[in-house]
Amino acid sequence: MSDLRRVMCVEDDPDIRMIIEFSLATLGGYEVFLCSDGRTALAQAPNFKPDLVLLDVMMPGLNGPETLAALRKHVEMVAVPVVFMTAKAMPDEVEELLQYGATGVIVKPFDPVTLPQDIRIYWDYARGI
Amino acid sequence: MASELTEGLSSASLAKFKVLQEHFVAGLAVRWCAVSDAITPHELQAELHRLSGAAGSYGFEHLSQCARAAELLSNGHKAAGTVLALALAQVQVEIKLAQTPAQEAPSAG
Repeated sequence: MSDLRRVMCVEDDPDIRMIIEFSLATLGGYEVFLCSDGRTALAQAPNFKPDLVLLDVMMPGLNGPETLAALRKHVEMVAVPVVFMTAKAMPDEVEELLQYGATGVIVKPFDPVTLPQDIRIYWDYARGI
Repeated sequence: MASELTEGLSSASLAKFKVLQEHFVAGLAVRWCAVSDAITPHELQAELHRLSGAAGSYGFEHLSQCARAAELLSNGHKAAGTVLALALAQVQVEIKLAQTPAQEAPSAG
């Protein structure tokens, strides 16, 4: 792994996609690829080659855990850190999400100003820093 | 009323955030229609979930919290009906507050 530069965000709500783009691209300086559903993410991930994936849990079609499981079947995506976004932040729910193989969980609503730092922390964690 | 998420942003970033915030507020009427038109408890829960998640990230913490409370009540239990109606009314109030342009603070002196 090199540095955290390319972030793929999978989120069905267009308003949340917009604020994520503002947060991660405008404020954080990351290259951001936005997807509105899990199937698009699966199709685009091998091309975009994200360094980290930010993945909504509750989505129509493939939900977050299903998308994560399918992403892991791509050779290029086996070790890419995936961070779930969820409004359900009870400890047992977070624990369950981590058991799917996510690196971390970001609780919605999130602060767009601190989100770039938050994902950097998970990136460092995934690298063992 | 929007809370302050934007402390420390450059003027250019702040201006961009304000534009996004206005766009979000402009879409609240559609979001409320989706909540009002929800037929099943699952649909209602999903719309409130989306509203809660989005509103807080745009600085509307009270709206986010009210939508979250209503979401938790919208699990289909009939006993929660009256409380749910009150929670939805509170969501509507918070939407109207968000749609109300902020008053300029009076200048001192």
